[in-house]
Amino acid sequence: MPEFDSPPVIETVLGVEFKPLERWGIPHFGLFWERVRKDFPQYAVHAALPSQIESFNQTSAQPVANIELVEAPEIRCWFFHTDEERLIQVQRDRFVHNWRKKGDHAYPKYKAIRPRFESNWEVFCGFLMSQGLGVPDVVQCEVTYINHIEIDRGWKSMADLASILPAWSDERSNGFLPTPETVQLAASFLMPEDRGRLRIMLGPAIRTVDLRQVLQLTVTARGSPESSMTEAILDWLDLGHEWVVRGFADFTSKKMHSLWKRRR
Amino acid sequence: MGMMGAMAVPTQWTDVISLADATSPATWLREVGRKLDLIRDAGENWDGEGGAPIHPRIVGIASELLVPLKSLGLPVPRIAPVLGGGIQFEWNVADKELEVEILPDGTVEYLTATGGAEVQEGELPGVPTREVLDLARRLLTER
Repeated sequence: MPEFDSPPVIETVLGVEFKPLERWGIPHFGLFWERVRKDFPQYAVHAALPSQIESFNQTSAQPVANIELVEAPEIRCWFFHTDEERLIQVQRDRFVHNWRKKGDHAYPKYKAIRPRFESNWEVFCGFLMSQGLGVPDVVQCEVTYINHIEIDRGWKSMADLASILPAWSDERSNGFLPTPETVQLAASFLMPEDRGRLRIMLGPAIRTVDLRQVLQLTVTARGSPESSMTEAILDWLDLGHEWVVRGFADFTSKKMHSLWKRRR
Repeated sequence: MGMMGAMAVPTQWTDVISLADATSPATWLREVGRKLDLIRDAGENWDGEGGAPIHPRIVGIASELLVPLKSLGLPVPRIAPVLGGGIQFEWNVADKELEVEILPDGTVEYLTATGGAEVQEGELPGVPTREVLDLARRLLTER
């Protein structure tokens, strides 16, 4: 697998979506928080994420968003780790573990993030069992890597995009158009045997924590695990991670790999 | 969590503002960010007299104060380093002036002036996003 000493990754997401827990209620957010509060003492409340299940039987490559009519508003709770680098997101049908780069701290590598996800997922499943809420029926896993390619570190304007992405050509048929003011790219790739789909998105953004202009390159793999067992979930996350890393390396240029100190 | 544009995934934690649609709040922040880049990239000895570099924590406070101002329609502020590693922003709108200074220890001070005469100044508590937003609004609306 490709490896970089100085990758542009600033956030990783490992998550699972499961069928909505029928007996889950607002109090369960607080009860679950009690289980993890020592390590995750801060919280925030957000609107719930819509279901986004990848479909492999239709010609459209858009994720299927389900609209459900519910009596009570659905919410999502964020629980922040004391190290300010980790976050757990929980809602009726979702469990997500984020790592985010803080300051100059190095990316801890997937092999360090994976067991943290596993242990928090096990705590969550144990909590559900203890509350009589059942075992999550997992329908999809997600691996996302968010990369920030900062301005002046390999690019200065959209004219440099071709030197970042080999798939992008800055050529014109007639030379009429100037350099693009802005570019947004979205590509999706099917994984063999309907194991999942890899999505790559790129666009210019301002990072609000330091007002740096960046190209945000988001690489997401989603797909269904063989079963709802933790081992099967981890197997799929490993597959998703492999696709994210190989896909990232394939989609970006050797010039940028050199800047990011690719080892292999 | 802010608006993130089409390139973000819903599970993302890191807050970014998309520049893809070139809206005025986003481009205002981009111009502010460019000015900040000049200061933070100047590094040590930026004034030729051994001036301390701007600490990322100070840039973080500056960002927290500036992001809420993006939709007000303010001009892009003048931004200058302050001796010891702080940052100062300054706006002039008609005959009114607002200065916000982040000292190297993170303390935030402000100064307002109207027609060069009525001067008000003081220290603001913590990371005073609401207070700075109010001062900026007064700059645009009060006569």
